[in-house]
Amino acid sequence: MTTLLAAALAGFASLALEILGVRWLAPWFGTTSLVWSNQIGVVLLAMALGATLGGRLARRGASPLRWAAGLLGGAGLLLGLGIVLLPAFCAWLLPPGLRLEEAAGIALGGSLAGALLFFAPPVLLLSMVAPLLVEIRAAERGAGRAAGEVSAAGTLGSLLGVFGSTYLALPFLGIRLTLALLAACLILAGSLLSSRRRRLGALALLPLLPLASGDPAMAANLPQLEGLETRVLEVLETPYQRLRVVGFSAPGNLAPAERWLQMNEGVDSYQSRWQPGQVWPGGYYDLFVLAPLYALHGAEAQAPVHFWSLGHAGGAALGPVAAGLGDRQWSAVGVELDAGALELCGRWMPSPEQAAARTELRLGDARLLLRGAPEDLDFLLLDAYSAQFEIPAHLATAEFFSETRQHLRTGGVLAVNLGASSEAGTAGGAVGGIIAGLRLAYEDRVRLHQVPFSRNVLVFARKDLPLPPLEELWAAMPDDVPRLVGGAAMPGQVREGDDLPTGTPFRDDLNAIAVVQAREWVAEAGR
Amino acid sequence: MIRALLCLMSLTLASGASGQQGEPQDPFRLPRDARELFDRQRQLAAEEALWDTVAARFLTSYPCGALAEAQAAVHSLNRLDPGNPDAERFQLQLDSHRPERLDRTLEAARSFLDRYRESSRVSAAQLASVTQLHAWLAAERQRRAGLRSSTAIARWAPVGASLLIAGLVGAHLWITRRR
Repeated sequence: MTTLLAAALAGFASLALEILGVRWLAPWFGTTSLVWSNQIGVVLLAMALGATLGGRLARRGASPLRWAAGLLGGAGLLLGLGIVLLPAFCAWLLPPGLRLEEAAGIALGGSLAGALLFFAPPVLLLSMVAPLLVEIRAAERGAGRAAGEVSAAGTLGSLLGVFGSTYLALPFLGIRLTLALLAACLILAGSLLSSRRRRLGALALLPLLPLASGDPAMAANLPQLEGLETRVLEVLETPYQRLRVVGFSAPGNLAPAERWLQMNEGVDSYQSRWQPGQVWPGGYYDLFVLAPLYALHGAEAQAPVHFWSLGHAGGAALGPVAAGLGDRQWSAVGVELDAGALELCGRWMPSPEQAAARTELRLGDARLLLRGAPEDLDFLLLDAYSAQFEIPAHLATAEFFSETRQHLRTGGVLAVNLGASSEAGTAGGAVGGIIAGLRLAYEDRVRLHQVPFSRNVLVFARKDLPLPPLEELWAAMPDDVPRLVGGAAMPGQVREGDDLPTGTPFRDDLNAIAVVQAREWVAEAGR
Repeated sequence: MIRALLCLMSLTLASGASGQQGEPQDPFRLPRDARELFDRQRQLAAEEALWDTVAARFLTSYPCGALAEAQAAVHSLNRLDPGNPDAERFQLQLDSHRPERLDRTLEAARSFLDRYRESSRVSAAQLASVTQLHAWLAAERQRRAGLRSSTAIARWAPVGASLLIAGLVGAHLWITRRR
């Protein structure tokens, strides 16, 4: 029974490390598909190597139980060491003042190196344990039965590692505490299997010591705004991502000048933006004022307006949209996948009362929930990101854009925010592919606005009716719209027709957007 | 008159958002909002392409992020008066937004300061704005050098980590070899 428990613990720890490892690296390197691939690849390689080495060691015949004990304890110590060293390693790789497009190149190599240095060694040691345990049990039960039992125990442990990490450790314990407890358990298990229990058992306290200091990941990649101090207001681990609210204020002044909701690696990017008492949060959000202007062009003057906002987070787009709607009656549905984002924004970045009262929040996947939306929406806002610069693959396909079209009234508008690298205009890029998909659904009624002094673009697609000429858009512009929105509506910042970026549309069953985006951002970082 | 207005704009550009409130009669003032930008652009497009008009086009487009319009205005200024230091200064402002031109822009800013430091063609305020831009470009170049170094380390770090692990595995194999 002891050997089976040891096998289960090794399996549990290996898979917990695989899952938690990515989340542990997230504050520095994000959780893009490439980071996940790096982590899974490294862990699998370490498992294969560990199994080979463990099998070789088992054949030597020298006290396999003692070796198993040493390997479990050694894995725990390495993991404990990683809790101290990993943040220092990541901070050393990432210089301050990084921009998102610059961080991408470092994140790719950094996450791979981090996985190799801090996850491969403990997983390798843990994977050496199973062959040794098989060797121990084989003497009594035969090789086949022993291998089957140890394998089954290890797999059950792995299963617990996967689900326990996601559903228990992340939401209730946090990453650091879980990893420290895991390291302590491994050391303790090693000492229980060993003959020197008391002396080795005391080492189990070591991984818990770093918990006495603050979490270094809190301040990873902290953004800076000129003349303002940055403070981390709250950090939340959710099943989807690590979220952080940062506040900016004048030196010596606690009153907030601005707050950002950031995910994972943060840097200079945000998932929601808030300024106290301001209608216009700034950045690309301000350009969402164009959605009602486009959608209501030529529409009945006083009909109430209804729209959905997909990827709602703090609802930063509501202020500009409400400004564009003027005195009209309106109501909205805000769809957000991550309850943590709504929780943090509700606490730190509240929408103006009037806008909040008119907006119904729904929790879930944007594509799934949209299927239950009415078919006469005036417009749809799409601002969804699954990992800092990764647009969720299923929200970037031609099929999805066709679905959005079905939920718009004639003349209704889909407004999409796209974080683009400087290669956005080149053929074959992510923006080109998305626009190609939009054009399949909306034909030539697609227009791109470059957000001034930004890497983002906003793309507008209109159902069945042409987008109004820019002169008419200008005429419909309300007073007090920020001048940068005006800049974005000047002809030089607008692309349409043959001037739009081109590409192969992404499809539900053939979708390379993650690779295309990663390639673009890494190329951008290398420039 | 023109010099004085450009000097004022130079200060405005150098001080960023603090220049939002312009006098109504000031043709170079920053547009208060998007609507005013459109009105001014429409009005300026209808006027004859004289230096003042084209400079006003730049000075209303650039702070609003309409970089293509601002670039077109600089081209027109260069056609109207080739080698004019204001047009050169405006081009520097535009190029500072293009990371791929960083080295060239830094060199151009240095050359501008060398040529006009003692010249009466450029006011002290305009020189100050280019000096500020030059300092920013130099700091940006330094930051990018640090970034390149970090990127190179990150690129090779996995190789180093792999070699370390391979070394440890090799040591284990050697220690536990059959005698």
